[in-house]
Amino acid sequence: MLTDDNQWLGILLERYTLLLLGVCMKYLKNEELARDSVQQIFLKAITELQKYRVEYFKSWIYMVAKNHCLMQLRDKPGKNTIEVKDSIAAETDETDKESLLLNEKTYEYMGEALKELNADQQLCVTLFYMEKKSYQQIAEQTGYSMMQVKSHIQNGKRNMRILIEKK
Amino acid sequence: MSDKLKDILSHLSSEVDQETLLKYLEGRLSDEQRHEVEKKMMTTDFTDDAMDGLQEIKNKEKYLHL
Repeated sequence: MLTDDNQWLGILLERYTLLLLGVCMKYLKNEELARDSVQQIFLKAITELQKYRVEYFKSWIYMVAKNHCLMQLRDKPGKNTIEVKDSIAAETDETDKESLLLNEKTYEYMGEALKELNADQQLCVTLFYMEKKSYQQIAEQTGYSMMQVKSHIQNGKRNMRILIEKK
Repeated sequence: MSDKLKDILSHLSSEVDQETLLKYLEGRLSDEQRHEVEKKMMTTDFTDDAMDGLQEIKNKEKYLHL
């Protein structure tokens, strides 16, 4: 069963091991289950890739992983409320937004948008993007947890993008 | 200033290789390098989800034995 194709696939998949483990862990919240899932996702990918042509491997494998996790959660009663975003659509959509970067005016708006954020988000975004600090450094400095820091940055970024698109 | 601001909107992801990610998780990177990994990982839903999940793993030595 170990053909040349399979070997190349194995090498390709191996590069995604940690990322897939992370995704599975995020959704399943259980290390053992997450590790098993990574193996199952590999097997599934090998089977599917022999049947179909996949253009955007990275987006595709992410979708396979997320679907796998959601199926697992669905099998457990009372845990079926996670919403899946359509990742492929989301990523192609982002190319439009890149054009914002070409616009010099955008920088001006960004400075303004940054000031409109709430205090937590403004602080975390500034420390991260302007002062190039790590989550850990920001956590130490502000007293937030690393996850709180990460989410303030994420939400801050998202709000800034919304504010800029309105202008 | 504007160069740094640009990073906030950017979705142009440059990849973090697994070796570097592993060093990050094991705490073997400088603060500056940590920041770079975090910034890159934030640019796609895939890597962003992965970062959330990887932070929750307690037994870090096991990363190597997948």
